Amino acid sequence: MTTNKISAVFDTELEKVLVDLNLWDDIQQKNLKCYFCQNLITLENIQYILPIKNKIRIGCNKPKCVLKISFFTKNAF
Amino acid sequence: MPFSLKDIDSFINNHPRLGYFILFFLLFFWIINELVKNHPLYLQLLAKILIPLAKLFKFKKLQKAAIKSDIQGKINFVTNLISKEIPHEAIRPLEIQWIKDLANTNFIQENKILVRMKPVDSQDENLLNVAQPYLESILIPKSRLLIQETQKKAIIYFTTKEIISSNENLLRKFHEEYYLPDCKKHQSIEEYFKKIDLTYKKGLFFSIGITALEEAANKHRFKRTDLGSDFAQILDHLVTFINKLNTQNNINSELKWNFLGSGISYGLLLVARPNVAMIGKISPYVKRAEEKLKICEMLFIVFSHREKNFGYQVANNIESELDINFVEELKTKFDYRGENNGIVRIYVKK
Repeated sequence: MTTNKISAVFDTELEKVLVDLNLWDDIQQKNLKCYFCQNLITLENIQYILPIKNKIRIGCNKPKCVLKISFFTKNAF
Repeated sequence: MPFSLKDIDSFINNHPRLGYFILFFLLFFWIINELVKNHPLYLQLLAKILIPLAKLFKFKKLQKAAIKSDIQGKINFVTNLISKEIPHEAIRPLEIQWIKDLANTNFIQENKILVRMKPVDSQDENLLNVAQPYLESILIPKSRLLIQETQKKAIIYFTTKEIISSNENLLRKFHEEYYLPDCKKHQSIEEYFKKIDLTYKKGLFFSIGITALEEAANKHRFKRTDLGSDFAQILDHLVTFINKLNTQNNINSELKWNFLGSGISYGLLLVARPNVAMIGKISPYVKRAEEKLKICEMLFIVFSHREKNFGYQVANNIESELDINFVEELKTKFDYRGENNGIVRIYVKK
C-alpha cells in the first residue's frame, strides 16, 4: 500500500542532520531565526527544517508557527 | 555475544518442547506483524505496550518504534474514517520515515519537510507537530490556498481534536495552547468550528461540505478564485438545512434544498423515513431530482443506512431516468439524524 511519508529526525540524531545541512555553526553562534516568527532558533526550540525557494529554513515549536508550516506542505508528504 | 544458529539448535535439542513452542510463537508473531503492521488499531495497541517500555528503558530504537506506532496509529485511525466520507481517492496512510543523516541526499531538491521528534516523554507534542500540517495537506488539497486562513484553521482544529479526543490531558493542552489563543485573535475560527462540528455530527460536513468545496477548487484551479465566501455559504446552508430539518414536521416544506454559489451549485435529495402512503412511490423523488438538476451542477442523495433499501431504489431510478453521472458513494460515520451510519451518493449533471 502506498503511504504519505513524512520525514522525521529523532532528538539525539538532530545534531548530525544539522551538521550535514551546514546549520550547526549558525545555531551555536545564534545566527538563525524562525522563518515564521523571527524568534531566535536554539537547539531546544527547533521544530521543522524545510526547504523554501531553494534555501533551508527553520521553524520553531510555537503553536502559531506549527500551523504556518502547513502552508508549505504541498508535496511535502 | 549474540546467539548463533548452533546455540539455537542445541537449545532445541536440549529442550525440544519449549524450543519449538518459542519458535512457533516467534513465527506466529512475525506473520501477524507482517499482516497487520499498518493497521491503525494494531499500531495503537503496539504503542500502548511500547510507550511505557520506552519511558522506562530510554533505548533509542525502542523510543523511535514507540513514537512511530503511536503517531501513525492515532492519525491513520481517524483519517481512515474520514477517507470514507471524501470522494475520489482514499487518503493514503501516514508513514513516519526516520532520517539519520542527510550527507548523501539533496534535501533542498527533494522538497520534503523534516520534523523533529522529541523523546517519548514529549509524545503529545510530537503528535500535534505532525498531525496539524499533515491534515491540511490531505483533507483539502485543492482548496487550501483558496479559502480563508480562519476557515482552514477551523477544519484542522476540528480534525485534530477528533484524533486526540481520547486523551483528556492532551485535549486540554491543545484547547488552551492552540485553539483558544487563536480564537481570541480571530473569533470566526470558533464560529466555523461550531458549524463544522454540527454538520459533521449529521454526516454532512466532509461528504457534502468538503466535497463541494474541493469540486469548486477543481473547477477554478487555473483562476485561483477566492472560495472563502463560497465555503462560508456552504456551511451556512448545511447548518440552516439541519436546523430546519430538526424543527420541521413536514420536512418537504420551507427547507432550502439547493445551494447556488458563485463557485459551485448543488441540490440535496433526502430519502427519509418513507411513510406508509409513500412506500413504493419513487416517482416524486425522481421528479424532485430532475427539478434540482435544472439549476444545480451536483446532486447529493442522502439517506440513512437503516433505510438503505428504499434509498437505493430511489437512487437506481434516478440514475436510469435522468441524464446524470454517478460519481461515488460515501459512507458517513453519522447519518442526517445524528445516528450511526449514513450514506451519501454523489451525482453530476452530464
